Amino acid sequence: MTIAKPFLTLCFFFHAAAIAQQLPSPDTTIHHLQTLVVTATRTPKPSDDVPVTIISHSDIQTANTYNVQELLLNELPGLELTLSMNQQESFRLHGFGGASLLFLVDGERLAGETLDNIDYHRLSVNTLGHVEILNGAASALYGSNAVGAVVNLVSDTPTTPFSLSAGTRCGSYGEQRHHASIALARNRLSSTTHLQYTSRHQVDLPSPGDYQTLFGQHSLNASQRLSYHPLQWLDVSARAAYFFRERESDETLHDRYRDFSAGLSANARIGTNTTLSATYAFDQYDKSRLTLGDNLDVRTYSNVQHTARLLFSTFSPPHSTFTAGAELLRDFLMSYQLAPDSRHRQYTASAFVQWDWQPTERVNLVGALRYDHFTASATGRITPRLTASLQIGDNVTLRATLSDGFRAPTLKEMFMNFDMAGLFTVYGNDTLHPEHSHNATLAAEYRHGNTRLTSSLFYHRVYDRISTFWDHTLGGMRYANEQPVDIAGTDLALSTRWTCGLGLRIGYTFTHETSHTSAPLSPSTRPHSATLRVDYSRKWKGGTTALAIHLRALSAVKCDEYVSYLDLSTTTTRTHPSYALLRLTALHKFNRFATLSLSVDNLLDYVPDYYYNNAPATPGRTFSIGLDIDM
Amino acid sequence: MLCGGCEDVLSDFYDEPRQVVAEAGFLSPSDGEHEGIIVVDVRSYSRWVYLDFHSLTIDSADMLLAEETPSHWDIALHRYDACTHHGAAAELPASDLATAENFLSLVSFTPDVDSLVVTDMSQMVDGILGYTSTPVNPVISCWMDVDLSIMPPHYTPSERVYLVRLSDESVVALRFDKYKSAEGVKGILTLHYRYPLSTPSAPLPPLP
Repeated sequence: MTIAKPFLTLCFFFHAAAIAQQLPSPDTTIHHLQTLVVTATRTPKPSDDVPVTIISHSDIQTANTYNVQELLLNELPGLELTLSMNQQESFRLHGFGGASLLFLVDGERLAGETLDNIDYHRLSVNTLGHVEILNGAASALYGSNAVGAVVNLVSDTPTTPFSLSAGTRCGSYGEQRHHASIALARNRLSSTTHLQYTSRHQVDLPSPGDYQTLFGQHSLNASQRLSYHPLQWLDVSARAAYFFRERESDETLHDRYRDFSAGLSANARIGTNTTLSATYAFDQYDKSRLTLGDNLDVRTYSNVQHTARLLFSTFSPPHSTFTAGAELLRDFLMSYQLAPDSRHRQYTASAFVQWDWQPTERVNLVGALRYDHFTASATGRITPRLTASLQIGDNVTLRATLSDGFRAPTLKEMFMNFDMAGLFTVYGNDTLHPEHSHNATLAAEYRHGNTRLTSSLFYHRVYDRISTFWDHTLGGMRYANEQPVDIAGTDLALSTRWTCGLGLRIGYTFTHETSHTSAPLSPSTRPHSATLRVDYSRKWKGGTTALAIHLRALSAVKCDEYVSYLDLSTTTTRTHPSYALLRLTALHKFNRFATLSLSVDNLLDYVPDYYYNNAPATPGRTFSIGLDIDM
Repeated sequence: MLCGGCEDVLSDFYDEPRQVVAEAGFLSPSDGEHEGIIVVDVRSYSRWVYLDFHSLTIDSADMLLAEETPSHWDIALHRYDACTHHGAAAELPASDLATAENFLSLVSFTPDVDSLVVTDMSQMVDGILGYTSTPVNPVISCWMDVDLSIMPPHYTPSERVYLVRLSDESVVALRFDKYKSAEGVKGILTLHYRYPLSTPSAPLPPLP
């Protein structure tokens, strides 16, 4: 396929792909219809032309998970979820923690963090169109935090004049998820309104561990999107969303999390080959504690981000696209952990350029360069990225990427003073250097009919990784830059589908992390992980039935841990055992409107002997049943 | 408000914080029949907090600064350690203070023993903890099991009643009710107690 296409053609293609995604019938996956993705280059490109992993709308429906965290774990080998420090969710992918994984929703960052991870409960699985995962460093496109990977969750968009969707799901341990969406598209205006409520009871776990119960919690997501197409060459859109979550973390205290986000964007097409977009985004994420005795809800944390962005892209026939952009981010942080006062601000100014060139029909080169300046640390960073791809014959594509990643020290890491359970204090450090990395990736892809086989080798050298070390002068922990860390590994993926309705997908990741640091704790990344999906779907007179078995397996890992937090000089080597979880999902779509779903999680009833923070937080086999109506 | 409206659109959801830590002391004295309530701040590693059930007062002294201990006290608390003033203690297989007298003649009392308590954490990363040798009552000190091998530590209260024979042969019944304040600050203890308990007509065996 010719890689570079005029923008209008791409937009039309994108629209067609989006319509195709609305039909989760098995037939749609037989014909190879590509999704247009935007994460790899910030401009729409066919998914076959860029090194982006996609979790399609069909995958999302087949996975039938309770939330986005479970969806990502189900689909991505190499991804691990831990429950650290009072059951805060932390992702780890390819040896990188949450601070080095950039999560975007429709291309926008999310405010707020806990243990360097965003609040994943803000991500509603019901509104997802698809997910794009760009592995490797991509700071040349996205700036800070895009070190290990960029995960872009792309919302579903209305494609019919009227659609109404409502669903309910109930499961073990009081699991509930109810949602309703209404989408209207009339003339030049379209609107999508979405509401979702989820809840889970407290779960008493059957084995001892770092935690013995899983906190009960409930959440509410509400969002509204409006799009207006006043002129042939102009699109404008507005959005607003509210999120609330309450976690029953204590018999006297509940943790509460709130977020309000809003945005405006305008996209103009100038001539046939040039686009200009302007975006403004607001995001406020708060944490508070509700004391049940006196019913006081006191805020302890607030992060507010304002982002303004201009993006210019022009296609120069026959085979060249130039993109340039500028961003301004205002970051505000208030926390009881900050010292000497409780609030800090930082401005980040960025500019980037990218040139996407196809010198021959089989060769594509993409080069990008970005500069970011951070006022709080008074530092700047230039990050490059170069990707080359070569198509060999009709079926094989080779790709090579050299890129840099970086992560600026956060306001928390620079200015916080946090009392750690009365044992010691974690001190901020305003002299921190940005964490930065060099990344090289080589990939080969074979595609034939419905079969796709990809393999890649990746290597990162990470400098100045930010971590906590004991400071003798302060008598406590302090954020500091580490010695270099090397991370290398491989990804393998195979997917195929037969005309009989049977599908197979296998993913495998090997990650090896070598730390040259003086930190006492060794890496806890599990070296081997794999996912497997076997699915079968068939159309009947009464509808379409789809069955899928999902396997997720992770190898054991040995790592050093403190024997006691009263003695940080003594560590012990502990082996965290391997485990495998099996899921069974069954969906039946009755004619046009109703879909009944059943899921059995942890089919083999695996229960860890001890719930370490990186053990699967499963109480054993669980069940859920759901009904969705789409009109 | 945090500052301008552009930085805070959610402020109406929240309440103003009240005083972070409740006032320590004998908040509600016991008359022996009814329960009393004591709130104690034991957050400091270097400080013993002394309870005087006769005068209903609380005092404290810093071990590292060699501060003088008060002249009158009955029970002292340091973090989750406890000691008596020439007394002894017993744990009851019960959590209800109302039935404490029933066990008086059935339990054996254990006196304090010399032990080491952590008083200085400043060099913990090097495995150097500052310890001070001091009498500790091993029975009352079991009221809380703290597992420091994980972060945050696991706190598991025994939820038992403890009988403490004081040096004047009077008896106090204690139950450690909470180990953190209403705001979630760990080390703010709430104790329920009855004092003085009615002692049986037959004298208790002499203290060891």
